[in-house]
Amino acid sequence: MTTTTTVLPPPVQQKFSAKLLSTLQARLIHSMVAMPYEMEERSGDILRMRRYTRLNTAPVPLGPAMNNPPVQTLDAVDIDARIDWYATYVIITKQVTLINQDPVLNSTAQRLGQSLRETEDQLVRDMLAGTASVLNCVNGVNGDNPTEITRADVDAVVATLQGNDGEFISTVIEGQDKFGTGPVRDSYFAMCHTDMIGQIEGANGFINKAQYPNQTNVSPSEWGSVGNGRFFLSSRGSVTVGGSLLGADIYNIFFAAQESYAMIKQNGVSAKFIYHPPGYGDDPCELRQTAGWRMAQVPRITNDAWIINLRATLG
Amino acid sequence: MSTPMALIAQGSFVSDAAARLIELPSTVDYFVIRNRSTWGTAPTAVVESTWYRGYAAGQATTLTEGGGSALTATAIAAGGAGFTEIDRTNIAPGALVATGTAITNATPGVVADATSPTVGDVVRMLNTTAMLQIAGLEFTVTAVTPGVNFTLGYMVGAGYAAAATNADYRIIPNSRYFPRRAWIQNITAAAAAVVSTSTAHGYAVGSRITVNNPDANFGMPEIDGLTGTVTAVTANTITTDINSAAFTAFAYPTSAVAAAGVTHPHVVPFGEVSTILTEATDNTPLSGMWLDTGVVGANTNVMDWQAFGRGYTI
Repeated sequence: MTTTTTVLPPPVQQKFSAKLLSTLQARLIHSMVAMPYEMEERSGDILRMRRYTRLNTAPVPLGPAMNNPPVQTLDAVDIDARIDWYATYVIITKQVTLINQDPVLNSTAQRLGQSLRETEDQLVRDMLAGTASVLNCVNGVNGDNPTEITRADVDAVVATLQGNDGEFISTVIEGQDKFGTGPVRDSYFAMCHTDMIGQIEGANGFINKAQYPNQTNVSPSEWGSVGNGRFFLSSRGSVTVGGSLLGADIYNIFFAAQESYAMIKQNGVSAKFIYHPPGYGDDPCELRQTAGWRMAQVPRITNDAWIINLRATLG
Repeated sequence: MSTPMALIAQGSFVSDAAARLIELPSTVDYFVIRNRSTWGTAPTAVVESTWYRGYAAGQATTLTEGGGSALTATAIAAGGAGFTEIDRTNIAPGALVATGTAITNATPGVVADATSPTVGDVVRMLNTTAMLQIAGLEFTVTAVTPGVNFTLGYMVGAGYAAAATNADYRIIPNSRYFPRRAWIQNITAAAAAVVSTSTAHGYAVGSRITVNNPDANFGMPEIDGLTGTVTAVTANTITTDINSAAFTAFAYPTSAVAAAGVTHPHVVPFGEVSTILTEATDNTPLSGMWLDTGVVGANTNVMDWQAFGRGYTI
């Protein structure tokens, strides 16, 4: 009789692969261009920012009498943001770390880091979705309101931001003598959902980032540019479920100019990773360990004239 | 074991006899409102109303003051004009409800629908055939006749050419952050422009706001992008220091124009004057108490309210 594995199977029939599989990690696009602020300790929980408003020009000559002109009054806008606290944690028994083949605590730390950064990004996204000025795409042909995005809609946003004296975030990428490439205009940053890929590529004048003459400082989350907008995509982009005239999902595309919004963190607590070994607290038999994070922050639009939520449906 | 209550928030308002929402920083376990104007003045009126966790929507326990200042224990039954707790800490929108058959072109608008939201809910109206001006906009529900209809109390529909012949909706929790964008229903042409919103806006006197009206189809294009300071508020109106007296009239476009693509006018928070702190941007998933007409007092009555929660357990 032939000896086969049926007759003589291996006593241990599986081996754990120490190379762990990748975990889904969304690209963090919304906090990318937020201005960082820090709230000092022992300063209350509201950060007050102030912007002085412009003074009028004075184009009228004084004349030979040299009388003083009408006086102008300084005015300022106060912009307040209240710090909120966030935290999460996991409890892992001593037994788990003893019997699992992989280093569970290492993976826990990585997952907590992902949770913290995605929470930050989500908070910025939700703040922008709820408080930014909006402009609907109206130049598409899908019969909905808003319509799918077109070049004319991008140009309308750019014109509005330019009209409000919003500064571009990125400068021109000059053309070079490289086959298939073209110059990229100075641009505002546009942040949206990955579902928009086909829509953006369909807009007139789209340039994929592979066609940029220079790949220096090009983010993995960038997809390309249309006119004066460079598009950054994430699977966690903002969607207003069932919000259109016909009940379709609306995709929120946040066009940001420089200094349009901020992320304010509490000095001393942001991005704090906390590990307590077995025996900490009410654990007399050293059976449980905990790992978690806490942070304190708040995102805030600092100039609503410099950020616009361009809303679109799918074509 | 006892469970002491901690004061979460308190405030006062001058009643206009209409139902209103009191926004609260968290869910509550006990809510009480007293009528400062009539307390001890021997009217025949409800002078104190209370709500405890576990009460049904519309329910209240009340004290009614009769002649001679005698107090009588009274009650408003479930489904009545008492309190309804509002908890929208979950910001996911509700499922599509496609049972509505009509919306009146009146102010306010009334939706004929056998499936009712709750008073105080914010609903996004969809597929509003023949009244597509409001398709995609959110409205606060201010009254409900269960199984029959509900009222969009802040809808300025009298100027619309036709009633809607279909009315789907989703219940929409407020966005995570306050103060938030609000859709505009009307703007007066006046020395102090009054902006009416489709939902309870939550702005306070001293807020600085930007009025966005980028679409000329709504009239009054002059106001687009102007900023102003809020000088007075009601639940759905904002009186500003913007002088719009010389501006062209504001009006919603026809259903057909809206269907062709428009951007609805809206107001966004801009900042605040230096003397207030209440308009700081804050992550405040909405919790609140809806005060219906049975507990909100008579017109001009001054009402004092307090909200309590279980801060800890011993």
